[in-house]
Amino acid sequence: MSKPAASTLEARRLGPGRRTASGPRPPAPNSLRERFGRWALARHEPGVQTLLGHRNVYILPTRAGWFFALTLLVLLVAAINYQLNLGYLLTFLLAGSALVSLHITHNNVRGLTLAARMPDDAQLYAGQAAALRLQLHSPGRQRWGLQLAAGRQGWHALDVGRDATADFALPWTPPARGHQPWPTLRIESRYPLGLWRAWSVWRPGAALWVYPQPENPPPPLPAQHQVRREGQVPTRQVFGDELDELRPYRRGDPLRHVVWKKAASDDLVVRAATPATAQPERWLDWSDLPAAQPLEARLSRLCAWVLAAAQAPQPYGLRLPGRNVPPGHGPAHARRCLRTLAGYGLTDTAVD
Amino acid sequence: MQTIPPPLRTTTRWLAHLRGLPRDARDTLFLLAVAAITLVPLAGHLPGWAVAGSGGLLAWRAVLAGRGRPLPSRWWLALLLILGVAGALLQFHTIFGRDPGITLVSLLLGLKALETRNRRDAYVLFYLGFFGVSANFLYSQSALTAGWMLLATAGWITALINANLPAGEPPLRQRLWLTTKLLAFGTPAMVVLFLLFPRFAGPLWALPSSASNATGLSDQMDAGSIASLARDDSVAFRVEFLGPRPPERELYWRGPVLTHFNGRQWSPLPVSPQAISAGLDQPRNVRTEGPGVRYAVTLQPSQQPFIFALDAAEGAPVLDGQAQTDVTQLANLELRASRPITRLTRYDITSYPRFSYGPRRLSPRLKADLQLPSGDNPRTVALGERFARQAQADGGGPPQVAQAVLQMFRREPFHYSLNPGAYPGRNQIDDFLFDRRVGFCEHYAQAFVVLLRAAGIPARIVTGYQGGRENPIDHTWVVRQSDAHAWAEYWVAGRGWLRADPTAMVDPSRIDRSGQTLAAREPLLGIAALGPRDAALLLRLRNLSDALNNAWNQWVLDYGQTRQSNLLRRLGMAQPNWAQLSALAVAALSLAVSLMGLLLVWERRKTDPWDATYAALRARLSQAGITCAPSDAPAALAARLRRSALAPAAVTEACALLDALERWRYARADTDQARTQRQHLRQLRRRMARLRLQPGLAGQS
Repeated sequence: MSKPAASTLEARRLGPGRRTASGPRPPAPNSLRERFGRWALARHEPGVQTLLGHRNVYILPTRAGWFFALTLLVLLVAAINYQLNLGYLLTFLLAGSALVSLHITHNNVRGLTLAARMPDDAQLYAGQAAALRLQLHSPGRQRWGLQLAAGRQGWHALDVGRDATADFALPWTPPARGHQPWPTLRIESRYPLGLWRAWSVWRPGAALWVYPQPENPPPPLPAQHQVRREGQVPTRQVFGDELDELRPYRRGDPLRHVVWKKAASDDLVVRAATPATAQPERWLDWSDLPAAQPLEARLSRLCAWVLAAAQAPQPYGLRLPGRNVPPGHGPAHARRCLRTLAGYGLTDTAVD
Repeated sequence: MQTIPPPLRTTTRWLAHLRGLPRDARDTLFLLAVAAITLVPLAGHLPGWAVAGSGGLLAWRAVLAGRGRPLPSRWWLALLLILGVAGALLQFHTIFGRDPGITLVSLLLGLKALETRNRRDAYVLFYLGFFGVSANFLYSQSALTAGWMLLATAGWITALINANLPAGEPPLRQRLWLTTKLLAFGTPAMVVLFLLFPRFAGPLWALPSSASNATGLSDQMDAGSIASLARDDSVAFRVEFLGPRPPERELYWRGPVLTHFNGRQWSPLPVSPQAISAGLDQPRNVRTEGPGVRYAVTLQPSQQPFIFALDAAEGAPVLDGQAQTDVTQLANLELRASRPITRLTRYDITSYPRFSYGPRRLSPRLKADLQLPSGDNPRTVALGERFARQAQADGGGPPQVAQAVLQMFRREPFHYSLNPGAYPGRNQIDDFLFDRRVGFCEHYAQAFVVLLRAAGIPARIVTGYQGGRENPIDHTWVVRQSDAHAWAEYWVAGRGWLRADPTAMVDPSRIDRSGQTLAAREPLLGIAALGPRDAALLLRLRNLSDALNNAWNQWVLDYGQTRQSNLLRRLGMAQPNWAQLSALAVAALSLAVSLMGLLLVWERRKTDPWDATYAALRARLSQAGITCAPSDAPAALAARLRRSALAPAAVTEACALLDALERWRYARADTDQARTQRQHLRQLRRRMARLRLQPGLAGQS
């Protein structure tokens, strides 16, 4: 329910240069619903949090609500025809309760505060569901049967207690790799009678990185390039605990060389690199891949390579047409490589 | 240790079992219980197979839900549906109309319950349920039915709420409370619409006449038909006397007058509309004396065209409540409506207890009142002839014959019984007069009439009600089916028709009941074993429920076109038209809805004082440029403040406030300090008002 069919995902995956980082281009307003969606979105400042008030909570009858109205009409006709005063009373009592439920449904959504918790550095690959972390605060009343959806993906229900704050991880499968903005979030409620649907839309001003899908099963790593290129300084990546000398921290030392165990007591201490034991570096090169391979497949393989290389001790670099990542090691380096792959072919993607 | 009685133990076990069920199963069982509540009162009106069928389907679904079994395939259900429709066709020869429609609704409820797989799917079931509730009103609109159906409606609404809780589920009490709130807040809209919705003069399309559940007197009488009514304690009509009430023994409420006798059955003379329109079938020579009695009758729907009034009614009344129905007064003073009475109907009428009517001289029209089936009851006929000869010999006339017959009933050992047994055969009146001498009012009345006819005196049977009782609670005069009575009239030249009540000769208590309790008269509610005290209590209860029913009738059921136009006239709309009425309804409705909304919003405002204080402080800090989310704890905000560019004094004060709030939140569990808490809160608010959040020097550089 939460994931669209795989074919939809494939169809949405766009080639290089065809899209911008600001997210999917909204479709031309061809239907009333889409027009409304655009208008409604324009009423919501994208931001870290939003308060759902009477300006941005909308309410309309549901299908069940229309059928309820039809039922009432039939009951009314029966009451008129058989001159049943109790029939009139029943019909009007149900109509009155339906009107009350309009207020209750609207109140169930209005007054909520939605906040987006910015994602930490989760590793997210295309085709995987991201957990959008949301915080809902409900002042003054208990809210039952709220439903949240990311974009056009399925609904997820939750309740929020009175004056409580609920954390909710909303699953969302991004449509493609890249630096993806959060989808438009929809929140709705049909509580209590299901005759009305109160809803609001909000787009948090956040984005998350979606890396290319790593090839599975993981391909073997390419052979190491033994030739050292000119102008490149090899970096030493592997340390034994005893062998390395320690020296005071100097400005410019990579943070990952800091010996944190000692950081608490003295000044910062780093492990000194000893170039003598430098290992050969590894280049993950676009041009090593078969020329016939399509773009996404190449990126998938490179992604798998990056993941494998990050496990190995050697430093590795990434070489793409028009873009190189110099060899390095460590989580920050891996992230940089993966982001480069994620944004490859997409314009305006700042990797760092 | 206390031992729990077994029934209670079973109940407890059941409740525990219910609680252990998955939520879907519990919701389904709740729904089924509500469906059962809705359908139970219909059981008496539907064919037995339909009752068994829909009950069985609901029970089947309950078992499946309780055991978590899968639902049957749709093919089975389709087959059952076909069977149900076939059954309705066989029973009613149609599937349209009231009874077949309701039979199908009750079966569909069961079938749909067996087909409903998830909670969201259940809407059809809810809507069928509302139809089921409405169907009940076709059979009964009493206050009791209304109360029971209010319960059913609340149940259906709660079931709807259950279906709209996709995540968690509040406790049942909370759901019921919400239902109560929905219904209570919906009531103003209901009242407005009920009062202002335009009422139509008649039905939108012709109603199929259903004589099947006609109640009360009918226009055919045979021995036993009134005796069967004597046990029916339901109300026939209620009377409000607009002046002094005549004594109870004079309260003869005239109904159908029966002239034709075929040996077993009495029936009225046919009424021809031509004769009525030509003015031939009219009372003649009605002479009244003394003051009239004015009163208003509220007649229960009887599905019969009879209108009851004291003798002699001034004329035909105008009915209020039953649309398009006229009343005619026939020559025999009987009031006859042009259509069966299907609604609660009210009419004002004046009667003159001292009256005379009928032809003064023998006319051919009296021939019908002398008719006897030839050859039947030879002994009775002979007795009648003997009475006539004797009266002639004594120089008397018809009044002396009638007196002689009545004296015979008084002197001879005639018995009065509600269960006289059957009088089979052609000569039933002979059997009654000469052999068994046990009977009820219709036996006496018919024997009297046959004797007089045999003596050559025109005579006929009048059926109706005699007496009634005052309800001490609302002082209305209540006439019940058990007051049904048959008496006689005979004709005397020069005087017209005279009333004679032969039953009164046998058992005076049948006529004069004042001073007797209901319990002494007949077993109440079939509970003969009750002592007098219980009976008195029951009588009081019955009076109370009667008074409630009467108020219900007057204020709810009787609200029709006439009352609506009265109300609107009082509101200043002399001749309201559709447009005005709709505008008024819309205006009143919007007012009701906005009031409702205001009430609901007002309710929302009641927030926790701590939250309000903290929110206010957060608002101040946000204005000063500190980002604060409602989810931030005071301590986290304080940390953010210390890093901010605000003036150090402001930061210190704001942090102190936040710290106080933080401490207060965790101290709040201590209820003894509620008062100090309030003071504390006021202090905090004052400090907050004084708080100045200027940017510090560092922030400006």
